[in-house]
Amino acid sequence: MEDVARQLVDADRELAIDLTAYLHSARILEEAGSAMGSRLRSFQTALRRALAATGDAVDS
Amino acid sequence: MGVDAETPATELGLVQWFPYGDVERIRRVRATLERLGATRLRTMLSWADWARSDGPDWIRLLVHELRGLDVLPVLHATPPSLGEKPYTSSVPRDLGSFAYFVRWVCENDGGRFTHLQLWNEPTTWCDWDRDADRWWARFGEMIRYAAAEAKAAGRRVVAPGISPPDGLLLGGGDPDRPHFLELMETAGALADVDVVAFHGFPGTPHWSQGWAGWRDEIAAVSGWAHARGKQTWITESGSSRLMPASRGAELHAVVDAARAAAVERVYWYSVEDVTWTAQREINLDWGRDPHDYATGLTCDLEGEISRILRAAA
Repeated sequence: MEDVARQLVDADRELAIDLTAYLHSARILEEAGSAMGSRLRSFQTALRRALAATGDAVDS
Repeated sequence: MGVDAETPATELGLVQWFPYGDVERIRRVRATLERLGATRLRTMLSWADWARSDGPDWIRLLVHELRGLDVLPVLHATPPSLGEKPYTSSVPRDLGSFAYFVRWVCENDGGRFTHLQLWNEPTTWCDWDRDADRWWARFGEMIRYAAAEAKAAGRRVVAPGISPPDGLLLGGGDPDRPHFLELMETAGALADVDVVAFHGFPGTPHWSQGWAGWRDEIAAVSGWAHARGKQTWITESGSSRLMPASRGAELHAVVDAARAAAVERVYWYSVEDVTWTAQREINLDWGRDPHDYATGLTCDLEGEISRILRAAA
């Protein structure tokens, strides 16, 4: 899952950011009790970790 | 106006922001605090700086350099690439991403922080994009998740310091001017909050429009908070030294009013002048006003702070 998240961030950072936003708005946090919710929440966390690791592309 | 030694002490701290990479400023400010006998510092841990490629190392360095001090960190500033707009005041696209930063801080502070303050002055346009989120609906959701994360990590949560406090609007029920705290409560954003916070700068009046005076503002906000089992802190007060008001008198006024109302903490802004230009904000208001840069301590004010701290020791 971590590899998939990193690959997505590397391939299309904007899409990865939008996907974390979509997963949040889909209330994955509340659905973590289900198998699907749990997997998606883990993926969302992996995406956030991968985004943090790549650094902010917008300079000051 | 003097400090009454019989009155229970209000803890006085100081505020200082540290621009990215400015280690010398951290060390200078440390030395100033030691000279004054101050042990409490409120500073920003910038989410935007953390998101730089070497940002986590900068945050760790900042935390390390401030060892030995009682630090109240303010977690603030959207990483521009994560925002709807490329600014630090932007609404993040993922409203849960701030909670991820909160978790990272809790996992990397070495147990240093007892309290975390979540965001700074969302009531001002340059700190939160109110054009995109006028009545903080999405801000409230972001804080609700972040506060839950901090609470789960065993931290006490300080609400964002609001400026101006607009205390007299609380309970007024004016649909055209809803109060930030009431909106946050409705959004569930205060469920995990332990301390309500506000800022007041009556010596620089255009920073505190609608100001009702320390006594009334404190009474309104702390009364509202107390009814909900929460403390109230004044996490920023201060004044531009370009204003005619005596900053020593301003300092004593807030400390005396806080003591009289049993407000536990007051933080004075700031230790040093702002010598850098604000960047990456939706900077409609902040930075054009010369008073924004002239808030650092002067010798007379240092003397007053030192006397208050010694009297409270």
